[in-house]
Amino acid sequence: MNNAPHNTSNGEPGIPAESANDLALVASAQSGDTVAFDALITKYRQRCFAMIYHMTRNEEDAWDLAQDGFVKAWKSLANFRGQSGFYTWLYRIMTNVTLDWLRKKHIRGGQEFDDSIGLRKIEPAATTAPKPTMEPAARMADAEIRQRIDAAIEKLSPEHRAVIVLREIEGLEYQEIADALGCSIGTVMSRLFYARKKLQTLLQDIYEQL
Amino acid sequence: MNNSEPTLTKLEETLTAYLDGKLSPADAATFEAAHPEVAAERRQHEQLRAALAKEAPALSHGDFFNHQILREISPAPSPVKRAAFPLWRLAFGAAACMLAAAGIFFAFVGPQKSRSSDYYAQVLSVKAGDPDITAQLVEAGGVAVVWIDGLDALPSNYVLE
Repeated sequence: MNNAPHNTSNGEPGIPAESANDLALVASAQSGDTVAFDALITKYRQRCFAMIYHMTRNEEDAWDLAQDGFVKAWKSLANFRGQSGFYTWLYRIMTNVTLDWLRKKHIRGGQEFDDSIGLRKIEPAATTAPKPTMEPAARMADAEIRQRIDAAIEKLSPEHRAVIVLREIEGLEYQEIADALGCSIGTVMSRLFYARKKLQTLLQDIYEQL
Repeated sequence: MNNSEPTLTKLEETLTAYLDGKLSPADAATFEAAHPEVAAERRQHEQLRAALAKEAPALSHGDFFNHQILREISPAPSPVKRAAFPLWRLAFGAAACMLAAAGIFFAFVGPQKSRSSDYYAQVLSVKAGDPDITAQLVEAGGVAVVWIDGLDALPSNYVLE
């Protein structure tokens, strides 16, 4: 398995970004240089946005939350001691901003995550079930698959979403995920196990199309 | 949701490590031999992973994105340069002018022309509250003039709105 973080489509660098250039920019930003912070935003905005998008499944929300994350990072910049890479540190902030938002959203929406979903069978008439008369065109199939994946991920709790995104998409190691989420490696593995089981159950009928 | 996660069994833990490529090749082979069904699960897992990874959108309006953050974090603009004539000074000036006008009025037509000449000056000095601003009443030839010292001159570009 390739654990190296994938590069984003626009070629922005992946994690970890431990470069001296980053540290110099951070040092300038810590002394109040917004131009230096602007450079850091430009460097990491795509990766932050993509990570948040995968957790929220909504571009506008991801756009706003990424902004919130950068503003919080600016306000907390004095706390950055360089013990980890800047992006790792930024990642934690982005993850926490997104998790907080997801929790509040689901509290407001009165939704409750069903942890037993992995034990249930999907009803043929369920909204996430494939349409029997699915368009054969590849584009339609892609859109359908995307919808199915979105729907499946929306059924995950914020914590399960986070581990899936951080592990399966961002390629973080267990320890990095544990650091980002403030939990143990055992908890990370447990969340991964149950989140995967749920996704497997929800998407089992479309695996052939993936 | 309850944040406490169930503890995994040994098998579940090994399966998780297997799917994430954390087992050595030898351990992975042993695990597959003992549980032939996991190979298919791994293939499914790889398919799902690929499906998740290929749909990362690009952030739109990047410049505007930065601009909004910078606007939020930029230090508040330094307070607007203090007006040479803040409101209290203008108010005082207006009050002083009114008193001066009243003084002149009373000096000429008012019923109390005999009032002590120090009276207005005292009132003005007390109202000013600024020791640098002084006022005095000058009476000469039947004309009373309230003379105020210490006020700043109005700037040439000052416009009273």
